[in-house]
Amino acid sequence: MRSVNLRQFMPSVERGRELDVAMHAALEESLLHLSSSCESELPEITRALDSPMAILAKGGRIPPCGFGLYFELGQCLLEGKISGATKAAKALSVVSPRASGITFHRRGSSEASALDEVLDQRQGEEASGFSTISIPAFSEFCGLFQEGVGLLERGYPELHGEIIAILSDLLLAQSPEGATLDFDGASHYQFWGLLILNPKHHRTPLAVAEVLAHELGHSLLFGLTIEEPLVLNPDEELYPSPLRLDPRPMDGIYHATFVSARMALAMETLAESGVLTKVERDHAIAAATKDRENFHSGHATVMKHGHLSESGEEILENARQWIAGQ
Amino acid sequence: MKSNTNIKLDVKKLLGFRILASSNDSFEMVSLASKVGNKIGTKLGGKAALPE
Repeated sequence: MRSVNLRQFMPSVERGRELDVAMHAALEESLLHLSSSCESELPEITRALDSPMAILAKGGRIPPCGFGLYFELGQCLLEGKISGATKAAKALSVVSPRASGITFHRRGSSEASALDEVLDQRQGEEASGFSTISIPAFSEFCGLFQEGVGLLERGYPELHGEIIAILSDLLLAQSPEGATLDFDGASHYQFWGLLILNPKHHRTPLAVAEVLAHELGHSLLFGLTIEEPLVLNPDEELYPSPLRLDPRPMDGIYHATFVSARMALAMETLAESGVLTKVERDHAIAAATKDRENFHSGHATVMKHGHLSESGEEILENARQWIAGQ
Repeated sequence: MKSNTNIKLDVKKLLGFRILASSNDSFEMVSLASKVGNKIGTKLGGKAALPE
């Protein structure tokens, strides 16, 4: 019997683990369906899926690029693109089980080539917004990232545990010169466990903790979007976002609103934890004030224009209740 | 449901695609695949890099 409410607002290590299990169970069910559907006409695809399904059957985990390849395979099959489907299935057949801990990748490096390739396939033009960073910048940030994770572990263990249960891979990148949007962080439904960060926007351990609360808030919502969408509005409808200058679909507004509350929670809890310096504490309190403003702005837009599913309503209402101190 | 091949796929059994299908059950298979959008896409945070 489940002891944690998956839709609760407060972080939970157990919830993080359960969502990771649920996403892998959904992937396993999906691969099984694709495998059996291809058995007579495309047996090479069925054979290729034996390997990832064996990993999952043994309770192993699939890295983010494996999830991305599943989506590539599924989309190609739905579109009747057999060569693309075969290529994705073959790539899936050689995916290794997810490593324990967090694996660091540098965009554009030979080590990251498999992940980069799937990201480029799945994101299309959007992938051009992620360019490589230098090796020194990569090494420097890896150390800072660990400091930020450590800060979260000391100051907010439950949030740290929930994040670590979900996060498996970190890809470091930056926006190309002249880009109209200088990204600071990104996550993607089709790459479960992956976080993409731009090091230049996160210069302190507290800033790392803050962006982890933000981006893993998105991941948390992905894990809660297995059976039904949170938002039913069409993606073509655009609304002002509390976190982006450009108008966004309602799903993006919903996400931004929720993660604003998660950031406020993280910053306020860290501020009260006793692990921050005076300067850090002042920054955390100021950031939380802004996060709360962003929540109210986004929440008003969602209430006015949003058409939410039952799960979408409950998750956001739980966040609102925390913001309201209920 | 059928794709362009003779392979029968049930979108409701496919992680991610079922989310898109459940928000509009009238999607054709191909248009559903090409509809892979915001709900199962990237969440990108950032700031405008260029001055107005």
